Amino acid sequence: MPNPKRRHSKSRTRQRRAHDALRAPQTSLCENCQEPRMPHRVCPKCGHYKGREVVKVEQEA
Amino acid sequence: MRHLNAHRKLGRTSEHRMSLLRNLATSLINARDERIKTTVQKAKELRPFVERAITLAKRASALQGDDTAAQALHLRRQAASFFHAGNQGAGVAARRGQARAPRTAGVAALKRLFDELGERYRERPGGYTRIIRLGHRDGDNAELAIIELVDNPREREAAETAAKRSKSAASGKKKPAKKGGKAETSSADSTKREGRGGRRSKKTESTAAEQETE
Repeated sequence: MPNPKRRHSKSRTRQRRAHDALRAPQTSLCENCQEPRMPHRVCPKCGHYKGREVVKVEQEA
Repeated sequence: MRHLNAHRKLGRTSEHRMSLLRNLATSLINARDERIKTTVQKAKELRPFVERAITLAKRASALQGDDTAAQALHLRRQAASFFHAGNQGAGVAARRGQARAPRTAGVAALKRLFDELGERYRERPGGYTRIIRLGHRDGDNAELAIIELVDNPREREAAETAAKRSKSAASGKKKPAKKGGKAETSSADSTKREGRGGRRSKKTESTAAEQETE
């Protein structure tokens, strides 16, 4: 079985991982309640989408 | 390459998948407000499926000339395959000696399809459904969506009230928009939306203030 010949330095590991960062999902503000929401999805806070459509029942917490 | 692979398998055998689609189509058409909540993938598979059934109903409603009854019946039988509306399995149930529950939901959906929806979508060149993404479900993180029939009664009602309100708004009171920005779109529902938005954001601000004072 192939085995590593030498120890990997922290630097090598970290250099490799420099490109592994994840990006935060893109959000925009809801037109209705100004809360951040995912694009092309119903606002989870107020249930609005594309202006008039109240898609979900509004839940007052 | 996934060339020529148009559909999702949804992790099911073909029989299971057909059955699922029939059930979903039945649910969609029978649902009280003509909408169901499911996963985005299922919704997207369901869309062409039900729309084909609706097209059959539409053609039945637009039949003219002689012999329409026979043609309508043929269309109806074709459409029946989109629901569990037949009597398949009756023989099996009889052999086992136990009565199977009649397939009323599929039959009701088929009836509704031809009585109501064919007429409703007569002038609409396809696109009878709408899929709205809702976000991810707790538990399995599946993305959910609402699929609904467009031009449904609830929607028409909303459009009517909006039309009424726009008349009254044009004649009389104008609400000053509390939030800047989108106030310029001067339709009735937008003023309503602004009002609600203002109220809601005020509420959240106040709770934020309370939290700060604590």
